[in-house]
Amino acid sequence: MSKIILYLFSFLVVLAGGTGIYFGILNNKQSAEPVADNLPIASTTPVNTENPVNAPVAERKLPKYQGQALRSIGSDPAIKDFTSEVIAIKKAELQKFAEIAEKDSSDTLAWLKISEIKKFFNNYQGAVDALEYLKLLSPDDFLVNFNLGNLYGFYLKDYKKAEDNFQNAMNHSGGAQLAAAISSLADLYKDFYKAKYDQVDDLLLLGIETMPDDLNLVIKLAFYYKEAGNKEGAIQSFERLLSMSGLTGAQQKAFEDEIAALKQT
Amino acid sequence: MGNNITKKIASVAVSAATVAWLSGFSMLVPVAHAQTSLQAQIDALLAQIAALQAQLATPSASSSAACSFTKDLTLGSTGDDVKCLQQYLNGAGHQVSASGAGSPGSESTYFGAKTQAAVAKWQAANGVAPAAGYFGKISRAKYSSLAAAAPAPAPTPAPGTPAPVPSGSGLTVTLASDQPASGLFGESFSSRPFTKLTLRASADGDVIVKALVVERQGQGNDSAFSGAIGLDEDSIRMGVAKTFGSDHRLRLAEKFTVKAGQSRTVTLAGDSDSDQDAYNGQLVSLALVGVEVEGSTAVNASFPLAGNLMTVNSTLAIGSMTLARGALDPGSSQTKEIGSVNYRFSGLRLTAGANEDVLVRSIKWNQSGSAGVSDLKNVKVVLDGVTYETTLSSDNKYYIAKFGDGVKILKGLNKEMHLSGDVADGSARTADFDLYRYADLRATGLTYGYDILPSATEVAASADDGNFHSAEPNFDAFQVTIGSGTIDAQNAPSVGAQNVAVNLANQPLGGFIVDVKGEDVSVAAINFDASTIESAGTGGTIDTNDITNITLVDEDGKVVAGPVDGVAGGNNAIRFSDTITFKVGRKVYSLKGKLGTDFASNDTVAASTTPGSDWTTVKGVTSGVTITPTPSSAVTGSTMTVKAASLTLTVSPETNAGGSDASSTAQNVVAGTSGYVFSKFVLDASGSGEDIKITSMAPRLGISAVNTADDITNCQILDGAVALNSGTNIVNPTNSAANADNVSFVFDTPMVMAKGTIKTLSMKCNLISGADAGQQWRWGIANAAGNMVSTGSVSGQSVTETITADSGRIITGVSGGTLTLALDSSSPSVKLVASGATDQTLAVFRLNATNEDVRLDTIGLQLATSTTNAADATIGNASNSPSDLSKVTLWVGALKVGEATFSSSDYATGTLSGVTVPKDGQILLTVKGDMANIGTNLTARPGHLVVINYDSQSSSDETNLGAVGVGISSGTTIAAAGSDTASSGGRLVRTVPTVERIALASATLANGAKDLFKFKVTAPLGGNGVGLYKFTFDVATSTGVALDNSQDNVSGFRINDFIVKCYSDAAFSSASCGSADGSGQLNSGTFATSSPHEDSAGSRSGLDLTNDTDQPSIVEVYFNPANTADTTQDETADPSEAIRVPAGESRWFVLSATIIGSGTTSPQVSTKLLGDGQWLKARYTPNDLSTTGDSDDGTTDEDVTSAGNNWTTGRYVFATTATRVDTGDDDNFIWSPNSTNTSQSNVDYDWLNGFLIPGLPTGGTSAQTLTL
Repeated sequence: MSKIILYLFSFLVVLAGGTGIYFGILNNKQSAEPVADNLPIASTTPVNTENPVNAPVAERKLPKYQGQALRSIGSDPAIKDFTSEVIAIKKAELQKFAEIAEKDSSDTLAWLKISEIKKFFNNYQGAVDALEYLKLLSPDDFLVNFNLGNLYGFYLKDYKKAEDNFQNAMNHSGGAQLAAAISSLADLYKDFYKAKYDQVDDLLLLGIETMPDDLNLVIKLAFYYKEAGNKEGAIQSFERLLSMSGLTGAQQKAFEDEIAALKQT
Repeated sequence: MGNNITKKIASVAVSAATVAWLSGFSMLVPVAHAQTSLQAQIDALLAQIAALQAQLATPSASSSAACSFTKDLTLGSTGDDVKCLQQYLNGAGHQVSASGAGSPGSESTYFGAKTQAAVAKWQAANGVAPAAGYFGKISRAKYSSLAAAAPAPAPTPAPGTPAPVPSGSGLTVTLASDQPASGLFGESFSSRPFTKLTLRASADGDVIVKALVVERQGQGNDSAFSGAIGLDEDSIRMGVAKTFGSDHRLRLAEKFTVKAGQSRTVTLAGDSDSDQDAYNGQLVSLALVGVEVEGSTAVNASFPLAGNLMTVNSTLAIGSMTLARGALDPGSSQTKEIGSVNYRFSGLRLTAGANEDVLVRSIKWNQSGSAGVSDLKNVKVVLDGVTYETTLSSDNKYYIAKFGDGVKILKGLNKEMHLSGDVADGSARTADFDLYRYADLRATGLTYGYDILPSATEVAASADDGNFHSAEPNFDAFQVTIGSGTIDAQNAPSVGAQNVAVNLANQPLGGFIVDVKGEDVSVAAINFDASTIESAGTGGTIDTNDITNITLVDEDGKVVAGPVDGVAGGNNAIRFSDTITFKVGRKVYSLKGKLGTDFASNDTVAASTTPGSDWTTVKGVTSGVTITPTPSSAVTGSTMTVKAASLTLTVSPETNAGGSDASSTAQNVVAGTSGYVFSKFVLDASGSGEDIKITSMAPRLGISAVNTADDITNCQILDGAVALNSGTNIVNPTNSAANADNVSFVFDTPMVMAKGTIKTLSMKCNLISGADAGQQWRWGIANAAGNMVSTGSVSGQSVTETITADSGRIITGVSGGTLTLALDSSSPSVKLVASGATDQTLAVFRLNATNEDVRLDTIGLQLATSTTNAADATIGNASNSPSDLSKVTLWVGALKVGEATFSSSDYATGTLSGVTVPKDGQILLTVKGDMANIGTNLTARPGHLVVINYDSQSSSDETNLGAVGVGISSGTTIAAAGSDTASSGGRLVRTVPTVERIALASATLANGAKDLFKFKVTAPLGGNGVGLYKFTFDVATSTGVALDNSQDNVSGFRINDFIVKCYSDAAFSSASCGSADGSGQLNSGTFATSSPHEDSAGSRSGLDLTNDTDQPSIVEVYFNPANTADTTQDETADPSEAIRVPAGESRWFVLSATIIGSGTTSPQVSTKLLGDGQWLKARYTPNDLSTTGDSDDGTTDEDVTSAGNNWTTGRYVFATTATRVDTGDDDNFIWSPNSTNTSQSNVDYDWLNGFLIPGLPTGGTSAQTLTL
């Protein structure tokens, strides 16, 4: 009996060895990936304790940050206009949040602050790098996509990337955030991405349909129509504003004047 | 089980495992499906070959394989079988190595990389796939099949030994050393190589080969060949395939030349049809048995010269190629004029069959039309969008295109091919590009390596029908007839009706477009008619003989006919007898002449011609054929009107004194302005018959006071940007000039105005910096002789001038510009702003300038305080601090023009660059803020209202106004007028929930428990989700008493027991929000309405009645999901608890109640969720700092007091504790943005009311109405 066990054991060992070699050969590509480039995430960002399923990021791995040096404030000429005190304070902040991010690459607020401070110094690429890294962790986060849209569109003039990020922000937001993303994308189309100038009203009307009580979307639409020479659209939009609640007295008067002026032309 | 048996079983198991282990990898490597199917075919072939060998009556010396391969050979293999393999490869034309080990005669026993490469080539050449150099089972089978049929290998010349040169006049013909290997000759094979020949001419002269005589040899039938043909060095078929005669011979009569001392290679090849069943297994070869040459050249050869035997096969299913008329084929026979370029003569669609990918290598197009070679140029073939040059066959019949390394067509797919070219000559001849034989398109299957005979769906033969036929040509393409050129004439609109002058040469009489196609066309004579009409009342007598020096002029101004003088009578009045060659293209020719003095103003003249009859001897220059010009009807040019030279001069309505144009009002101009346009003058020569030359003008200068004329300097009149008077001609008025003096402006060179045109000239001057403010200047024109000096440009004749006097607009000097700033109406309304969000538009300022452009350099900004506009709940009560913002940027459109930072105070100055406010115009300056982040130890405060206003007067320097710039003209500093703006700003929050009402499935009212209202609350992704503390519903009924918790109306209609439940799904099936009993219920006991809940004193209960009458409608609901049982029934509220909606998730809520007595009054019940109409009113007092020492930021209780309706003092903080929010008047919907964690405590200063919550308007959601 012991021999049977021995033979069977030998069989299993040999079989396992062959199988191991086989899969080892076939899968060596996976194992060859540089582990050193992956950092485990031990996020201190509050997780959803009610619904742990919603907190998978803690199990993910992020690649090593390879963007601009975390502590670099850049070299924008405007830096010289800041007082040394302001620069020192901001640098200290950057140092603090860089350390946090290095210790815990999943700390959302740290990356947001790094991006904020770099942008403060007009170091737009550095700000983008921080957010793009954060986007790996939180690809659908409104703030990440929205701020990336602003950086790409209004500063780095990469309109396609800006559009993509704004649209992603729109797809993952509602209410005030959605209105903000629509508004910024409309600004991009209107003043920067001129090839899409004629899509401004479509975009704003989409937002107004979703948020009919949002004054600012209607204000933006009214003035877009006015600028584009769509008198009828402008008048209708201003009239709609007058029917909405929340206007200040000054706004009420201004929009009435706009309507009157448009009707005279 | 016995021990031995056990041992055996175990032994077998171990063996099996070992085998599996040793072969584990290869066993698991996927085997290509194609290889599997190929194996079946190989096996079948092996069986056939074995049978064939048995049938052979005369065994060949090479009938047995030279090598005996018993195992797979691959890299690292050694042994005699390897050496034999190398010998075989060297002999079969796949040399292992050119020198050293592996080379012919030096074969080794080691299978190395060179052997592997040679095997791979051999495999590729013999259809063994994959051709990877692994000599395994498939290769061994192939070897056996080839070796079985192979003749004894021809002796290979020793390396480096030159081939013998013929010793005398003649042609030496030998078998090439690299004969096509034995293989299959299957069905639908095309150009299958059999025998490769080398023909070498002697050094003393070229040899012309007239024909090759070929004999079919081997144990087969001639009918196994549908034809045989020679292939040249590029495998292009030479001439026409022939079939065997009764003597098994045929004669390939395609003549070719072998240059003296050089060699040509010709391969005898066979075609087969689609059925070889009757000949399957036969061995056949093609032998050269004779060569016919021109002259007396001797032919040296050892006939017969035969290559290897091939095995006729009827089972191998090689690939196929189907042809069809291509999408780019013209589709019909057409006529194309000489000169047509890039015409597509013929097109094919090539479709690969399902068996093999196909490589298209070459094509021969047969030009069977009557057009000569010189008639057609640039003949090219385009395959799959790539253009290939063609070469012409020696007999000029075939245009041959070779496709480089070939164009691959994947199985089942197709590609388009067409042939195009230019028609250069050959009027009335034809061009017809056919595919004479299918085999003229060479395509090779990529799996088996054999050339494929294309096929097509054929129809009955019909000439040039663009179809495929069984008879040759197999594709009879549509024919093109080469047409002669054409010529057509039309009126030229570019020589339009216009004024013409009298007694002046080269006056336009008409213009004609001559459109020539195909070839240049010569015309020997052209006549024109001329129609002259006198103006009524002129009384003169004019005729066409009054027109002289008439020419026909081309677009370059070159005279192509004439001059001639007109002939009286009008008909054929102008007769050109010069031969004119009209070039191909569409050109305009003008008729010009001189009108005699009999012509008077307003007389007219018009010319016409009828090409069909007035143009004679019209021929194509290239073709020489006679052409009929078109049209056959008259073509009439524009009518010309005789006019004298005339010019009118007026002051432009933009700048005249009358103000007839809105923009012509008097202007203020800042002293120091350069190049200001005082006036514009309009010169109109539209009624002139001649161009006009103007040498000077004398505008009138107006001044409001004496001795001020010299305040304007450097006056110039400009034609566009070109100054007409410069240098010493520049005018600098002096104080000797009196008001209304005419001042002469002499032009540097006379300005010529084309007749029929209108021009506007600008008068510009500088207003010196010391000009007196309030004084006025103007430039106009007086109607007086000499104020404009002009003559006919060419004739020098006097011009009829008409001047409209006008004093010009008034220009008033001012010392400097003005600048105003105000909040623009496009500035956004108040909104919720996410902390950390960048580039949030917080305000839009409008800046206007007058008198001059103003460069804006700085702007004062301030964070609004709480001291203004108490009556308006949305502005003037900002709670911001500098730490709420990272920075502020300033924009004009897409241009960032500046930035500002609030570092420690509420004031900042933005430094601007590139901002110029245009005179009498405006710019919009957009203020964007980067909001600071909210979080633990971060600076921004939840709920702060961040408002940035224009600071009209900086608090840090009361002497400086808020916006400062510099007048561009005056150079003076200009401070903006205007007061502090009152923008709306944004409320700073970490996140914002959205509310969405959900319609009930049933809107029917009934007694008992009933759902009244459903809604959803969603927390966005990012952040920590939101907290919820309180909902408020408005439950209205159509009857009197409804919400009767006192239950004193027990007999009537009433609604009791309001309960809110929470779910995590839209189906309202999964209880959530921490419900202790799993029901989702959030309120009960003192939070429920099952017990008396009248609450007139404001203490919390399930019902917060609007008053203590019997008609409440407001239902406030607080949450305690963990303890919904009201065991004490003491009507004292337990502590309320917050519920949570995690980030990126939604919670679904339903308000239900018990309906009693609904049948008695048929009531309606309408329920909605209420929002809040304004911000929470709470404030803190900054003076607390002195007593508490805290940060005084409203985050501690001592900082905060309820404000009620008192908005007049203090600073305000809007995120506070949940209970403090609940004490205000606006407390319907209480929520938290969870600024620092996912379970914000009720006592954290992080709670807000429902103002501006998306989906929750001030008046509440739309109502859900239940009807009985």
